[in-house]
This record gives sequence, C-alpha cells and structure tokens, in this order.
Amino acid sequence: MTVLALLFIGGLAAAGTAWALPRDGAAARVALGGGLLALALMAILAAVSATPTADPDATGAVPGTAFNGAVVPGGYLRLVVVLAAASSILMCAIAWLLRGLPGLRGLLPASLAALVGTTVALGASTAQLGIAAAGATGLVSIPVLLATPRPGAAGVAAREVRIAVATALVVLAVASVLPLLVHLAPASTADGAATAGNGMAAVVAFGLLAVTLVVAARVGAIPFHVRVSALTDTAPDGSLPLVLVWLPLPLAAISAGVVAGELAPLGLAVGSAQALIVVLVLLATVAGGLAAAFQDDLRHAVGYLTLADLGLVVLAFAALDPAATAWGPARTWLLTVAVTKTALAAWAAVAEDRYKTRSVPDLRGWLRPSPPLGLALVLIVVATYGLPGWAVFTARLDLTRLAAEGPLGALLLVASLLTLPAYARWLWLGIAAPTSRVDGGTPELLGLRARMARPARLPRPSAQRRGHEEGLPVEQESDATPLSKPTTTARPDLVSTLPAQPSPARPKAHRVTAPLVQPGLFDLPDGDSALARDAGSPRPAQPDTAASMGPAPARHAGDARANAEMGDARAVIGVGRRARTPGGPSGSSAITTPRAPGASKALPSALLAADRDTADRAPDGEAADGASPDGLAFSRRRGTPSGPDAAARAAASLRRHRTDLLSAAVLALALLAALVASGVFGVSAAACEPTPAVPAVSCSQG
Amino acid sequence: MVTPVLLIVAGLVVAGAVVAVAAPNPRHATLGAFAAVLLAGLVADPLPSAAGLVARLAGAALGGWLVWMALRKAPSPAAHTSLGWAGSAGVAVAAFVIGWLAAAAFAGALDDAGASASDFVGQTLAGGSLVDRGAIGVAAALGVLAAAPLVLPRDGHRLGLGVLLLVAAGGLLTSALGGSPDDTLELALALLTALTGAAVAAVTSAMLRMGGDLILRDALSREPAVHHRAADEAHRGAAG
Repeated sequence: MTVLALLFIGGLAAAGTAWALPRDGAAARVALGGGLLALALMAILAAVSATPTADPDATGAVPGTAFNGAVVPGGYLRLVVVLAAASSILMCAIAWLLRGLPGLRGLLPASLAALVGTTVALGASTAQLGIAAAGATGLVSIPVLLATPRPGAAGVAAREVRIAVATALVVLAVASVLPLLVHLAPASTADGAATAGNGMAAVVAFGLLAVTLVVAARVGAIPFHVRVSALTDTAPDGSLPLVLVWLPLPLAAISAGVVAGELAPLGLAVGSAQALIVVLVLLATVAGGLAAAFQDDLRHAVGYLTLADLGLVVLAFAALDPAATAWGPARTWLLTVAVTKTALAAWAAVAEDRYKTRSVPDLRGWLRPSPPLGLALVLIVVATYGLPGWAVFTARLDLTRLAAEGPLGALLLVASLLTLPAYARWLWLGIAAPTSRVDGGTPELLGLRARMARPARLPRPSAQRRGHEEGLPVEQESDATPLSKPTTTARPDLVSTLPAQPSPARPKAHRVTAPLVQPGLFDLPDGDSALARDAGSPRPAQPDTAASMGPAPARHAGDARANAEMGDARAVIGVGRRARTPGGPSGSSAITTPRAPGASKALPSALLAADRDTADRAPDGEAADGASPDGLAFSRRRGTPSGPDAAARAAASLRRHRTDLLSAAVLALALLAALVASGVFGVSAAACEPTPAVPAVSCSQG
Repeated sequence: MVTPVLLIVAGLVVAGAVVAVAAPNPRHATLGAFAAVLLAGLVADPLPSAAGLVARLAGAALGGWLVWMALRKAPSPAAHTSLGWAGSAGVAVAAFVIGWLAAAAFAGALDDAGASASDFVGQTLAGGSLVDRGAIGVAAALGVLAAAPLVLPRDGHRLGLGVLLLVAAGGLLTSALGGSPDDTLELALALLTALTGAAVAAVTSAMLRMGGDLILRDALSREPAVHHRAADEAHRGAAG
C-alpha cells in the first residue's frame, strides 16, 4: 500500500507539474510547491515503508508490495528513493535560484517521474520487469533536455532516446536468454568441458560483453563519452545530475544483479571476457581522470569525473566468482557516486553562475570569496574517495579486488584514483590570485564580512566632510581629478562612484561602510564585488587597468548603462546609485549596481516579477530606478512600507540572500554525500540485501 | 489454425518494419512502424491474457498516435535508408531466416537437455513452437532493420522509429524465450512502448519547431564558453 501510494503521488505530481509549470503564474507556483511537497512525501513514504512479508495473505496479495508482489520495496530501494528525493529537492532549489521557474519546467516533473521509475525498477520482482522500467526511466531525460531552448537540444534528446531504450533492450535480451542457459549449462559441463573454448562459455562471454558494453555506454564511460559532452552543454542548470547519474543508476544496478544472480552461478570460465572488461575499465578510468584534469571547461570536467567514477561499476561484470560477486559493492558504489556527483554538479553550476564563466582558468581565485563553496568541494572530495572503513572506500577496494587480483587489481585501484588531480587543480586554482571574473562575483557571507568591516571604517576625505553630499559613496582617484565630487545629474539622489583606485600618491579612498553594516536596509545585488571588497576585505582594492586605461569611466547611471550595454561588466562594477533608506538617517545611502547584460537571466523570474510589482506599488512612482540595460529592474528603493505582500517580501529576501542560499544548498548536498559515503545510512548493508530478482547471491564486503 | 494466422501476422510485422525504414515519406514510415509495434504484441505462444493484450495494444496505439500527431507540420520527403525497398526487404528476410534457424537450433539444444519436459521458461520454444521461432525471427528482422537508423542516424524521427522497432523486438524476444509474460510485465512493456512513442513525438516536434525539418544536425560541437579568456587576464600580476 505504501509503495502504491508512493507511485501514485509521484505519477500524479509529475503529470501535474509537467502541465502547470510551463503556464507560469499562480498555477506554476502551486505546481512548484506541490511538486516539492510530493518529493518530500515520497521520501517519507519510502522511509517508513515496511519490509514485506514473504507469504501472501488470505486474499492472495502480498502485504507491503505493489501489483501483487511485482514491486517489492527493499532496503536499498528505500535508501535510493530517500536520497534521490532529498537530492532532487536541493537541486530544484538550486535550479530555481539560478533560473527561476523556467529552470524547473523540465527538472521537477522529471525528478518525480524518475523516482517513480526507479522505484519500480529497483523493486521489481523479475529482472525483465526491472529492465523495462529502467528503460522507461531513462526517457525522463527528454523533457529535461527539451525544456531548454539551446540549439541542438532536440538532436541530443533524440540520442538520449536511443541510448536509454536500446541499452535497456539489450540487457533485456540477455536477461531473457540467461534462464534458458541455466538448463543448458549442466549438459555442457557434465564432461568437465566448461572451458573458455566451450561453445556454452562463448555464448555466456558474448552475453557478458554485451551487457558490459551497453552499461558502459549508458553511463557514458570512455569511449562512449561523446554524448556526455553534448549533455553537459545542453542540460539546463541543475539537471545534469539527474541526466548523468540518477537515470542510468537503475539499469546499471539491475545489470549487476543479472550478472551476479544469473550469469555468475553458471560457473563458466570466461576469463578472456573478464580480461577485456578489466582492460576497458582501466582505459576508461585513466582517460576519464586525465581528461577531467586537463579539461578547461568546468561542465565537461564534471562530466568526465562523473563518467570516470560511474564507469568503475562495470568492474562488477568482471567479478564472476559465484562465492564472491561484486553485486553489493557495485550497488554501494552506484549510490555513493550518485550523491557525490550530484553535489559536484551543483557546485559547478553555482560556481559558473556566480562568476559567469565555465572556464576553469578564469575561475582562478574562486576560493577566496567563496569559503563555503570551498568547504563543499573539500567535502565532495572526501566523499568521493572516503576514509578507511567508509562505505565508499570499501566499495572501491572490493570492486577492484574482485575484478582482478594481483598487480592488475592494484593498477585498477591506482587508475580509479586518477580523478584526484582534477579536484586538486580546482582547489589549487581556487587559492591563487583571483581573476577579475572572480572579483566580479558576489562574495559569500556578505553580511558577516560587513559586520567584520565596521571597526575598519576610514575617515572621510576633507573634501567630503566639507561637501554637501554627506555620506555619498564617492572615491577620489587623484588629487588632480577629484572624482569625489559627484557630477551633476538630473536627480540629486542619483550619484555615481568608481571602483577603488589605491595608489601611494593618492589619498585613501573613502569606503562606504556605514550603509553596509545595516543588514536588511540595502539591496546588495549580485556582482557588486567592489562594495564587498570595500566593506569586508582587509586588502586594498585592486586597480582596474581596463577601467583606468579605457575610455572615461562612468560617472552616472546613464553611463553605467551604456557601459553595461557594451558588455563590459567590469566597468560597471562599483558604479552605482544611491537610494534613500527611510529606516535610516536621512543622509545615509545605499548603493545598487547595474548588472552586466545577460546576468538578468540568472535571476529567478519570480523575484524579478516581485521587483516589478513592488516598484509598481511605490507611492511616489520613484522606486523602479534600477532598470537594467535589458529592461529588467535590478534595484529599487528598499524598506518602503508601501504594502508589498508577503510573497514579494519573501522573494526580495531570498534575492538578498541568493548567494548564501546557493552556497548553503551546495554545502548541504556535499554533507549528504559525505554522510552516505561514510556509511552512516547503512548503504553497504542495504546494497547486499537479497531482492526478489536476485534472491541468493554472495555479497562480498571488504 | 492459430499458428498460420500468427505467422501471417509475423510477416505483417516485418513488412511494417520495412515500410518504417524504407518509406521516404515520414507519415508512411510512421504508419509502418505503428503496424509493426501494434501487431508484434500478438505474435506469442501462448497468447497473453486479455488484460495483457489490451495493455500492449493500448500502449502501441498511444505511442503510434503520438508520433503521428507530431508529424503534422513535417515536410514530406525525409531521410530514409539508402538500401531502398528491395534492399530493406532483403535484409529483413535474411535476418528473419537467421533468427528462425537460430531459434530452431536453440530449441533443439533445449529439447536435448530435457527442458521441454519440465516446467520452466522457454518450455514452448523447446517444445517446437513455430510461433516462438517466428517471434525470434521477427525480433531479429526488426533488430537488423532498426540498426541502420540507430547506428547512423540522419533523421531524428527515423531514429525514433528505429527505437520503437527495437522495443517491439524486445517484447517479441521476451515472450518467445520466457514464455508468455505476466500481466505486470505486459503492462511495463506497454508503458515502455507508449513512453517511447511520446519521447519520439516530443523530439520530432522539437526538431520541427527549432529547425523546421527532421534532419539530425550535429549537436555535439562545443560551445565557445572556454575558447576565449577573459580580457582581464592581464591583471594577474596586479591582482596577486
């Protein structure tokens, strides 16, 4: 009953969200809430579902199962559903913060449908049913890919249809033949002819290689990696983990069960096939690790890391000793890779959004303004490799040990660690001197930095103290060109400023710290690194050669817009305007900064809509002073009690804390991955539980 | 009486698959694939239960209808196999014969092992069922015909039809080797067919919407995201 309820809720919510999310408005918001609620409900139902009894009741139904015993919830299934649902909720939150409701049009329904398909696939009482469900689950990637207007999405989706269904059908064919081979095997081995040259062994080896190749293709292992590159380019932000990891998981897990439960017990010598599998995995792992290390495209590097780790599960097909199959370690490995790579993809998506680049070299210095993201990456690395005694550590050792003994096994183990240089490179780059792209990103923990900056408040230049524009965010560039005096604008409340230009020959820049230390009063838009630097960083502001050597820097908002239109995001950083803050002193100011063109696309539409709504309701019609070059409002007067509704206030609050929320979500995913990898949730034991499809199989664990 | 009818149906399935691959007009190809997928559910010995049969037919009808509806704005000529009608038919017949003979050999081996006397999967095949042999032959024909659009796809719609043919082949193989599937497996296969049809329809619609045709253009080229460096690389020394 519980499983049926889970399937019903998931199916209904998937259909509902798929219908409502593209319609925007209230229907989309309701669908968003309902979809997330359904995900949570599914996780709860999976967690509380009882272990089914073995015998049917008086009516012939098997309690605790669905479809009269066809779908049986086991411990591994429960764990997968709970972790997948938790990951999906966090990924949906990240996608919403990155792209708004449009970012969820494909992702949320697909996540729900994937959970339904995964439940049926992993709980199936027969391999055939599970494989059919796994094939259908793979099709969930289509709405995700087609939800993006990126060119070539339809072609990539067509290839995904092919890979999802064709791989499942090959495994289905092998799984259909294997039960018949069980009856042929005794006749074949009666005279002790169970050798590699035996015809029966050749058939088994052919089936084994077929399953191996299609699973390798499904997970994208090299040399089947070309579609992974296309996927990383095409999949919308936040949906890569679902497409790359969670959707192939059911087929890979079931295939491991087919090999361990039906093929390994035949006990036929297929050593050459096993050696081929080991060589394939060795090459794929080495190539994947090296490609990730040298790849300059962050998304592609994440894809290579994913396929390198996920491809290791193919080793389970080389462990054919009936007394020690790799079924349990393979399922443990699959689940840990799924959660760790989900966190990694989330980290990459947030880093790309924050610094507006996916070029790894351009991300140099990312760790300095983003300590929580750095902590998340460290956690992801720890969860990927584990510590002695951890589930992921043991699973990696078991997979390599059971697939090949001796030096070859050791070589496999070393090869599986070749993904480490990619992480090391990112961390090393992170602590280096930042590029201006990184400087242009919004630092994390801005409120904390601002509070820390209060004692370091600098005295104002004398010219400022004498001036009428008390408290203006103005800096002096040099004595000869006193930029501290604002240029005249049509509106006296609009002024401009420049990024700090420290020089020994110049007077110290006036730092605008007072407004920033009053959280809640000011709108701190994304990309305002100059403010953050001034507010919180002890080091002097970096000179901006491009700004100082280029055309005359912007002096007022109109120039800032012009610069933004020219695509020079760096030039507009620090160029802001002042808005009154009714809650503060009359002379205090808040700086808001126009964003670079295109950056508006990263803002959730709901938040922008909330901005427009609030601006429209402003009593004096002055609030919407932050029109960006593309016509979207990015800044507005804050704190005006003009009656904005609670949703708008909440949206504005989320917008203020968007950067920190994204980091928190990534950190939560990384923490979840570390917990799963450590074995806290009992993943190893759950992975070794017998299932109706694989009732009796030895499970080797460390 | 039933066996000859089912063998005729098996022939119709192969004919439909040939149309799906060789017909230049995408609508004709869709009709061929629809016929193949719909009739493939009937080639089984013993026949599935009524509920299972209805599920399979409904899944095939839904999948085929969705693909048909997606073709409303499709251009008439589209990429098709370069083998032509005769070539495609020849390949299909050859694959059917090979599948039939392989099934016969397999059934003989099973019979020698005493499998036909025991109650286990594949009993009917070991017992010499012509329908099961025909089903395996049809599965082989569908698999071979689907290989070209699947391996070397030039047309997204035709690739989808190849996937649908493969789904039908999988169902045939399952029923021939494993005996008549239970209702749950029939339902799962029906859902897989319907969902595959829906996915093919979605892809076809998207291709027509985005590109105006069904040609599968290379979407694997990299975006220029990392081909340029930020101009501010010059600030490395200053920032350090």
